[in-house]
Amino acid sequence: MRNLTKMNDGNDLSAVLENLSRRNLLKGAGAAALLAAVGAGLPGKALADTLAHVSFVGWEGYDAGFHIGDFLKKNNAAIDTTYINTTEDIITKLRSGGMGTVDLTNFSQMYVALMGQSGLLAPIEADKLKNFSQLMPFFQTLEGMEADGKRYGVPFTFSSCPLIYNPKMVSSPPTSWKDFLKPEYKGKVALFSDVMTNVVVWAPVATGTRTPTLLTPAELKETIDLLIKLKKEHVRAMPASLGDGADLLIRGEAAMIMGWEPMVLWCKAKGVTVEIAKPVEGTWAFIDTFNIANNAPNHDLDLTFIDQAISLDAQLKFGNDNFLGVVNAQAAKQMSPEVQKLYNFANLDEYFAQAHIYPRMFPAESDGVHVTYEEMLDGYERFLKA
Amino acid sequence: MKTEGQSRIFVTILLLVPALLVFVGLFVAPLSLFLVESFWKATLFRVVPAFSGVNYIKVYTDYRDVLGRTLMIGLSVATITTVFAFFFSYAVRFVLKRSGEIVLLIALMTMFGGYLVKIYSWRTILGLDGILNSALLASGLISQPLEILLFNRGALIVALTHYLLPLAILPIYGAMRNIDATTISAARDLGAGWWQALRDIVLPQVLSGALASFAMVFLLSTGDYVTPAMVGSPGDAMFGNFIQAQFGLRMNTPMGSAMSFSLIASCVAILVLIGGIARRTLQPR
Repeated sequence: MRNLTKMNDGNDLSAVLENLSRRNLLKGAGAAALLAAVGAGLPGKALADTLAHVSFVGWEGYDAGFHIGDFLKKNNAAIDTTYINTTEDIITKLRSGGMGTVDLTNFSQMYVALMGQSGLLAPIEADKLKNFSQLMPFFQTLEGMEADGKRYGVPFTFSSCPLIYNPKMVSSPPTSWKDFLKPEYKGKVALFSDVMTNVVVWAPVATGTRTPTLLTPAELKETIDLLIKLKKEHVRAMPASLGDGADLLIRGEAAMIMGWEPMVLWCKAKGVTVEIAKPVEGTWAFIDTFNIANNAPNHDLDLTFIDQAISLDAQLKFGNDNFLGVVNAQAAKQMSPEVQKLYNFANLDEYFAQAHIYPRMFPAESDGVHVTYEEMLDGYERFLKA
Repeated sequence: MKTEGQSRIFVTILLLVPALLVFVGLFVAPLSLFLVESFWKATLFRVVPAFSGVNYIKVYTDYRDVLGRTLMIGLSVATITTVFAFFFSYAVRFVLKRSGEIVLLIALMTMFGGYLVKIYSWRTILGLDGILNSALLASGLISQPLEILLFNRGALIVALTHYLLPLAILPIYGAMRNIDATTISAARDLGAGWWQALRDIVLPQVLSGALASFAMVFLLSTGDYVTPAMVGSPGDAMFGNFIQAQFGLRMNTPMGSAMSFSLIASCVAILVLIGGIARRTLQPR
C-alpha cells in the first residue's frame, strides 16, 4: 500500500523494487494465498447452504437409492455419508456427539427396540411413508421394530449367514454345522470374524438352544469351548471381511465357510461354483433397517428418504447391485433370477424357518439367569485369546 | 528496536507455528484426552469419569499373554527386517557401486505398491493354489500342496517384513552414505577380517540409523492388526485386535485407552533397553 502511494506520487520505481525483497514477496504471496483459500471456500459454502444436508451413518451401498434419478434435487437435499464397519459404530457415533447431527442410521433388527428404549432413536411415523404398505406383509409386521408402542425401524433388506460349501471339495453336501468338525475337513473350514454371528450360529450347535441371545453362563461356556476347539483344530482362517471369505472359497483354501448369500454370486463371477447347505440347526438371519436418530436435524425429510429407500426403484437397484434380499413386494417379484433363487421371496416363511430371526439382543443388564452383552463379549475374547 | 537475532527467533517461531498447531491439536490433545480417559470406566455404551487404575491392572492380568505374544512378533519382525535392511544397504553402498542406486530405487519403489496389495500378493504366492505350491508341484518335490505356507505366524512375519523392509532401508542407507569406504579398506589392509571391520567400523557408525529402523518396524508391526487377520493364524490375534474391539465393539474407550498406553509404554521400555545394550556393545574402536 505504502509502495503504491509512492508510485502514485510519481516517485522512483526503483525504490519500490528495492523494497520488494524476497521476504516481502513471500509475505505478500502468503497473504494472497490465504485470501484465495478463504475466497475459494465462500462460494462453495454459500451454494451448499441452500441444500438440506441429511447425515447418513450406515452400511456402504445402502444409500444407493438416494442417488436414483432426481430424488436429491427434487428434495433440495444432499446426503452426507459415514460408512460403518460394525453396527456398534453407529452407537459410538451417536454417543460421541452425533445426536443432533445424525439423521439416518442402519441398525439390524435385534438392536432396534433396545436403541429406541436407550433414547438413541426417534419414533418413526410409518403412516407418513407412502411405500410402507408396499412392503411384503412379513416385514410390515416384523417383531422387534417397536418399543413402548412406538416404531423405531423400517425394514430395508435381509440376508443370512448360510453354510456355503464347494461341492468339488466335499464328499457329500453338509447337513449340520457339526460337519465342520469332521476329520476330513480339518484345515478346510473358515469361520466368520464377527462376534455376534459366531455366537448366535454356534450356540444352537453347542447347546441346542433356540434362543442364542439368551444364554446361561454354562451355555455360553459350552459355546465358547466349541468355538475354541474349532479354531484350534479345524479352522483354516478367519477371513477379515466377507470378500476375503469369498476369496478363500475361490482359491480352494476352504471347502466350507460360514458365509453370506452374495458370496455365491461373487464366486460364480470368478468361475467357482459354491452351494448353500441347509444345516439342521439352521442359521442366523439379519434384517437391516432404516432409523431416524434422536434429535435428527431433518426429521420430516428423513421420512422422505426412508420412503425412497423402500420404494420400488430403489429396492430394485439396491437388491440387484448387491445381491441382497429386498422388502418391497413389487421389487421382490422383479429381482434378477439369481437373486430370486438366493432369497426365496415367494416363500419367506420357508426362508426364515432355516435362517432364524432373533428379535432381541443379549440383555444389557443382568437378570440373574442369562449372560449380559458384556459377559458374552468377555466370553468371545476368551475365544480370540485362545 | 528489534535486533537481527530477535527477528530471526521471531521468524523461526512463526515457521514452527503450523507444525506445532498440528502436533498439539492432532496428537498431544487427543492423546492427553485418552490418557485421562484411561483412568475412567465404562458402563454399557457410556463412559463414566471415575478415577481408577483398574483398567491398567486389567491389561496386565487379562491381556498379558496377548501383549507378550504381540511384542514377540514385533521383535521378530523388527530384528529380521533390520538385519535384511542392513545387509541390503551394505551391498548397495559398498558392493554394487553404481548399479546399487538402481537396486535401491527398485526396492523403494515397492513402497508405492500399497499395503493390501502386498498382503494379497503374499496370499497369491503362499496359498494352496499359489505360485510357490505350483512350482513345488511342477518340480515333483511335493505331491500335495503345502498348507503350512499360509495362515500361520511364519506367513505373518514374512508379509510384515516385506511390507516394512523399504522403510527400514532408508535410515540405515542414509547413515551408511556417511561412512568413508577407505576406512574399511584401511582396516582390512591392517589385518582386520570382514566381520571385525563390520563390527568395529560400520556398525558403530550406522547405529543410530539401525536403531531408528528397528524402532519404526517394531512400532508398526506391534500396532498392526490387519495383516494377522489376512495371512496369520486364526489363533494369533494381536494386541491391536483387542484394542480395536474395545473402541469399536465394546465402546469401552477407557479400557481401549489403557491398553493403548500400556502398549506404548511396553514398546518404549523395550526400545530403550535395546538401544542401551546396542550402544554399549557397539562402541567404535
